[in-house]
Amino acid sequence: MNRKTVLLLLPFLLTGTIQADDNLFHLKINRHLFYPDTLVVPAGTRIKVIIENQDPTPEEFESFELNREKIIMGNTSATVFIGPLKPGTYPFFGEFNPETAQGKIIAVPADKP
Amino acid sequence: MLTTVIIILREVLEAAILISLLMVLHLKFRFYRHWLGIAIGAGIVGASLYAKAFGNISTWFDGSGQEIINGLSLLCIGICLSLQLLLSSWHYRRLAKPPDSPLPIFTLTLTAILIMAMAITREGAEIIVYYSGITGQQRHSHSMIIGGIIGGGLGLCIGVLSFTILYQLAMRNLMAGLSLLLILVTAGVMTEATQYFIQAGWILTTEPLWDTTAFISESSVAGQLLYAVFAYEASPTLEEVMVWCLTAGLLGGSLFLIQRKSHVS
Repeated sequence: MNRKTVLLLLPFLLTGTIQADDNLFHLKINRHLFYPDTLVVPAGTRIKVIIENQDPTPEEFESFELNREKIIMGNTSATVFIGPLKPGTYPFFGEFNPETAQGKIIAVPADKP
Repeated sequence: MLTTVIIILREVLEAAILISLLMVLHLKFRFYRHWLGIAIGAGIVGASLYAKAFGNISTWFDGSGQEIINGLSLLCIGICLSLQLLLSSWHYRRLAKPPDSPLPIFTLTLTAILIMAMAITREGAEIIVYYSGITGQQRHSHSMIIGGIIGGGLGLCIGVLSFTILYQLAMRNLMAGLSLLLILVTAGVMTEATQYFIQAGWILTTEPLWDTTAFISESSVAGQLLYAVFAYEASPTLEEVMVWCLTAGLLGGSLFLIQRKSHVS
């Protein structure tokens, strides 16, 4: 692969990272509970969720419906990109404490109020 | 306790199935037999180091360090698995004998060690991180330990069962079965890598193409086992489906070409 080909392909690699208007949401984990436990997000567009684990122990943010899993160490934050999602409800849970750490993301069409 | 059983079972099962497939291949072909010990040792050391540096690594790449490292490791595993499949099929089909020159044996041994060391590093680190929270929860610590033993034991049993079933097959059926399994596992590994890059925001994606939750839900036992072995996704995106088809197609096509001028029926 010569230099020209690499330069041609570079924009495709970078499109994933340069996204100035990503919808940004925040989740907190405290005492093995998610706050808020429901996030309402726009459907059809990628969203960025910053998850802050305020507990001292690690938690794994996981969702089968969203196809996402990420370990967040105690007293740290993590970033997860989700979507674009079709309108609907997508449950998520903390795999290390699934009895209590539960929540859902509700994706609504952009034109709905 | 059930939560712990499932968590540990899933982590152990991925590695156990890979070990069983590779061990069958290497024992039947009489490659270097002691690679597994080296791989397990390297994997345990890797898992300890990865778990220790987990918090730090997670901050790399703008908070997506975990996804990038896991994704790259899975890509490497996928390439190594492809080499295992193609090299062993080449020697079986085209040359009708195990390799006697050092280069293919060296490649097969090295890639097997890399596959298992990286798989054990990733799964082992997650298990270590999971248990690192145990000291703060004395009430649950006993059930977590017992759950881990049960889950780990179940995963190992399934791995041993898979090895036993494959090992006693006649060589011709073994190569066919092993090839199919390796294609499916490798395609799954590449799809899982793609998903990590999507999660990190490195690959833009679209809405999922379909949803087979009604047939096999990912939260069901069957769904979780299929996820652990073949990276089953009930609602895959276009990019994941493309990577799966491309990997399976390339490997299947290569095996077909190798077999076309086969010296073994």
